[in-house]
Amino acid sequence: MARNGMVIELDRCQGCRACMEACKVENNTPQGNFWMYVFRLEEGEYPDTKVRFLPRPCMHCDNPPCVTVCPVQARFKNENGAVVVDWDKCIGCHYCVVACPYGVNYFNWKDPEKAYYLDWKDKDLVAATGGAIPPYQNPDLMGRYGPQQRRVAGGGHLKGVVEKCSFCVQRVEQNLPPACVEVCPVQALHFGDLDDPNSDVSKTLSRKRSFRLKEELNTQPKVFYVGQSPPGARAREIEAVKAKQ
Amino acid sequence: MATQTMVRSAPPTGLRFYAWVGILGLLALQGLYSFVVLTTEGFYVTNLTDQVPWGLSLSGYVFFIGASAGATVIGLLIHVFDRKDYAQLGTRAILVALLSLAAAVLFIATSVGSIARSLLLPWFWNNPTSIFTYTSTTYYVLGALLLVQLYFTLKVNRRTASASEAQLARWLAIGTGIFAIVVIPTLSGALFAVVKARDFWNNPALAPHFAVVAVVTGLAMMMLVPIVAAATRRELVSQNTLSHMGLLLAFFVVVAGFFDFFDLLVFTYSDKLAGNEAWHFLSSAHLPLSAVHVVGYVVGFGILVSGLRRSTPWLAVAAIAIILAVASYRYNLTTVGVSMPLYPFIEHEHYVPSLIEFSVAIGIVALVLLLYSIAIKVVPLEGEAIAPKS
Amino acid sequence: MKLVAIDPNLRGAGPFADEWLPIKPGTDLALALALCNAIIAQGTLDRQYLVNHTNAPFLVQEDGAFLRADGKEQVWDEASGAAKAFSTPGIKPALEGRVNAQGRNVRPAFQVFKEHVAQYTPEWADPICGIPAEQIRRVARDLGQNAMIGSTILLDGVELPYRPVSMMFYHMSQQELGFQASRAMFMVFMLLGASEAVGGLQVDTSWAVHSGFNAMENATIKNPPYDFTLSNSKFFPINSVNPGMIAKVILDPQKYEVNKLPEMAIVHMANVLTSFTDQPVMEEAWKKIPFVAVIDPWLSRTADLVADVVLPAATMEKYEGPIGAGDGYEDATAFRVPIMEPLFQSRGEMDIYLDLTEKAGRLFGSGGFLDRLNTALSLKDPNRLELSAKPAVRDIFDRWAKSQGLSEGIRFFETKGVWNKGPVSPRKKYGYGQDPPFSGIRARLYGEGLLRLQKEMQAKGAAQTYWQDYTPLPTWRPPTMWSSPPKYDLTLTSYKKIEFKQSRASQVALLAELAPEQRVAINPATARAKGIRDGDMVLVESHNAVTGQTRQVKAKAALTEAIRPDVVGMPHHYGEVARHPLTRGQGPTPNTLFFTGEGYVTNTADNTFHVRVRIEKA
Repeated sequence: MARNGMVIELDRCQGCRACMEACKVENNTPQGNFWMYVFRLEEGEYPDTKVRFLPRPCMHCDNPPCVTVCPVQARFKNENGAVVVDWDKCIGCHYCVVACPYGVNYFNWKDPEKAYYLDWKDKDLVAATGGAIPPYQNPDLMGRYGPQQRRVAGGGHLKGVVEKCSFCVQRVEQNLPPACVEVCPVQALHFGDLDDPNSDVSKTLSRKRSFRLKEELNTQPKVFYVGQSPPGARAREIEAVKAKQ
Repeated sequence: MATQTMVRSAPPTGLRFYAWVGILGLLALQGLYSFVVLTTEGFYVTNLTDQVPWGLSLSGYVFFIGASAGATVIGLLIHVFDRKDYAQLGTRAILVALLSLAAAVLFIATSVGSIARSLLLPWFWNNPTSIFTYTSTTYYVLGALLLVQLYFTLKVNRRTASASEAQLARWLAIGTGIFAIVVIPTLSGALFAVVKARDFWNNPALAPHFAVVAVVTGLAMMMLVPIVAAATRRELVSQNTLSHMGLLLAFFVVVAGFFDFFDLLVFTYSDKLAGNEAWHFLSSAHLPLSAVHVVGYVVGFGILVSGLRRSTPWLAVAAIAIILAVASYRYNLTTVGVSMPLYPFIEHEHYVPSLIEFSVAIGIVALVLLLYSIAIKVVPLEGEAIAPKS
Repeated sequence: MKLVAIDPNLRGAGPFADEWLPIKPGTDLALALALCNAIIAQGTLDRQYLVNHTNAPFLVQEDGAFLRADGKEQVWDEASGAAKAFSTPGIKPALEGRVNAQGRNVRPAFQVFKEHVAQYTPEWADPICGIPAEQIRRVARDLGQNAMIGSTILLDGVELPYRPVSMMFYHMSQQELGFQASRAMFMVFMLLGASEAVGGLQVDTSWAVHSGFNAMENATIKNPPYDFTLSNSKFFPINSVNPGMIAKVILDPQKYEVNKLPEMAIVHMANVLTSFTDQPVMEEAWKKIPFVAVIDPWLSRTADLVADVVLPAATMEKYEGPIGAGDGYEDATAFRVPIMEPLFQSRGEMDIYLDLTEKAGRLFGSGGFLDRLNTALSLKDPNRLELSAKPAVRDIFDRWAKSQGLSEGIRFFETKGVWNKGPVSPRKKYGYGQDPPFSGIRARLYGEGLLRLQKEMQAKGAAQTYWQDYTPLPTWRPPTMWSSPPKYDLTLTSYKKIEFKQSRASQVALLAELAPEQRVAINPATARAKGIRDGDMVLVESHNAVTGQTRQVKAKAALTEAIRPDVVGMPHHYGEVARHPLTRGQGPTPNTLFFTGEGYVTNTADNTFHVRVRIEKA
């Protein structure tokens, strides 16, 4: 019964996007879906250019608009404060995608078999991987979690269903941090219980000034940024990662 | 003085009708094919993205739900405002409302990622915090009301209804009209308006705006109905009634136009981030449609308040202009609303529907037109009451 | 700690720097000379270091050679007012002045240097480097103030000079003037006494005298015919052995007075036909090598085009090591151990080489592969390999680990991962920590050996392009590439993206998704002037100022304010690196545009990654 959140040290983040890759491998997300995303931003004009980076997982809001609008209650807040999607229930109406001010939702546009870049039905590959799609399929994603035993770990990435960052619910279950937090080479990402004054996140927040994105919308996001001020009004995204259709 | 009516057999079904039905049938079939492709391949065949998740299909839903709600205004005109000259339009209005509702539901079905699942789940009262729960419930209610109303109205037309059934038909017309115009558009508007993440929609005026636009759509479509009927030698209403309808439509167009102006003021001067972004879209990729929106209203209004409204062809032009204006408004509202970047630093995405999306939309419209054309041919909606053409 | 980034492109550590010096490519030498000038002018010099640990006090004659007596270099002793051998105890060698000794007009090397850099003011460097003079002076002031010349620090009971100023200039040598630019940058820190001091500039994580240091004094230029690497030749007496130059040699052996070309090559985990410059030249040359074997996990472009045999190699599923894992302060060793059996037909290279050498009859016996492994891995009895038995790969490394003192052998790495050996003693780490300091050598502020080589090169008839940069002191000249016609108004630079590793990652689907295609980084002001918008396809054309050749590629433009307006940048990693469906359409490698050979290599044959280009919307 925690209230899990994240603290991201912007002055450490070097925009390497290893967290995006770790998330992808851990959660087997299809092409174009980046539950964890890192913005690479530029501000100013040469030679007064500033370059900075902004990792953006799901904010796991305490007042989540996506949970409010889901017509079939596929979205809910789990016992650890994470906002999760029951992929058994989602009908893919996109209302959560529309209602989320942070753009953290990703739709499954294709059959999983077609959504992973290459032909995963190649004979040699199938022999080596036992036909798993994708070949590095994580069996934990199919499981049922939480007191209500719902399938919230992202699972089969079924066509027509919306998915998003789950704070790696299958890892938290095993007392492991989310994949992005684990892999960050400069330890810029911290994860833990915001209600526990001794947790890493609580201690960092008590020491440093923080901001959250779009606080004025009263979503009460649980991802806090420290170490830099928010991106300026004139910031521009560079090197955006888009799906290849 | 009660109008003397005469039974007159309908003109024989000509080649024109079969050609019309044939074309619509083909268009509906191609839409069905595209729908199958959409369902089997997945939504990547559309041009929707995670940044622009609602597009042509959802705009189609919003347009037709407004049309459905608005068409019921005829019932109010007949039974509340005692305009018996609209009587012949009454049954058609119910049919138009029903088919528009069907179109709206079909458009929703083509916007949803997993239709199979949405069919299996109960749509009413699932999540009381979600406006979707309320809208879907009210659509079921509207559908039920319209069907019951249609049944009893047909009985009345065929003079097989009892006095209490006639009363029921009357009260249903009133009740459905009020329900449809007051509740349905406001809730459908609320679907968009509650979304704080999309500044462009997050405006309480959206609900009454939807209600007004619903009446505009309904009236414009119901104005086309007798014009088209007259062209096939069935006179449902007199030229005076059409004129009156035109003036009524003009009034609602002004109100709708004013709501648009209100929207413009709010997003330009309330200093919301949406302001500049909205202008960016409306004046670039969406400019043609913005133009149709404005010009359609202006041209429509101009015709309807001038002497031109006495001419049936001009009335048709006005109705079509206004329908196009509303369609543009609905499309712009939906797509510009979602297109606006969620962060000031990400680039704008310009959504243009894919061929499959156009195909499905055309298919649905063709299908309801087809059903309408067949229904009015096969089911004697007005009973035997046909005014003689002179 | 204040960080300054010197780069035409604000990348890597650049965004975290306190200051960005957006330098024009190819002008690092000018900047370094200006810094030397400013540091000397502001007087922040570590005279103790210069006098005692460098050849700065050595007396230089008018012909550039040191003054010697009995084979010993002379210095001017201020105490006695006479020239003495540099190693004489108790003297006070002068750094400045003009004196007469042994009947010759001589100056201390530092005086020569000071007079030499007098012209290289920050104001002089400003228009060349494109960095404001005031900014250069500010950096020099910061360096001088923060060097804390004269201060010491106590580390583990050892008192050592403390000079917390340093520079990281890895790969800066890969420009035409790179050799001298690297020297000049190093000299900045020599002036501050920060070389091998605590907090200062180090060449490696621990002190060692390079095996070539003394040999440099006696470097000789051989007579032709030369080896195809041109080592010890009149073209490149100091030679970093650049495959680009080797390609040039293969295509015109007569020009380079070579008469024996390679008959076979093994390309091991390298993609030479993508990762080296002057791609068309490389391809033409490699096609002439009669037999090529490639060891690689993928059918690389190189393998695809020129391999006669491809031996599939494992990547992570093998033993590989030892790998240094220390950070200079803690010493550590790591070892790659296989996580699973090799996939498909691949094998670890040790397995491949054991088989190859066995089949070639060079595995067993004295001088064979096993014998050399004993030496290379410093295997000690009883863990030395028997020269008559073919070992399993794991066994080889097990013996290595045991020879290192790990009683559990390679099992240590299989279970614990990293062998943390503890802190590095300051006595091991710093040149100053040695006994005597710097192992008694003197750093060469003045490169007499280079002058000697230059004269020999001239005597042997080498063309100016080869000897012009063998100067005892770094000397500025405009890079050859600036002679390209003015329509080539931009300089192309290249860089590495964090998403990929060299040319072996862009076909990995997960990584390629992050950066699916080549992009040319262009400054928006430049792009606007040329009518180019973000995402537009552009044509990039390079020009070889020596041969007049031009090359063209097409790629999409990416506008960024983080690059100089007169520079464009393209990352490596692309260029159809392997025969793989994902690499098609990824776009070109900048190596198609870069050149090798004269004008596009350093005086030590190291390759340049600069060229003048023009851009237009395609």
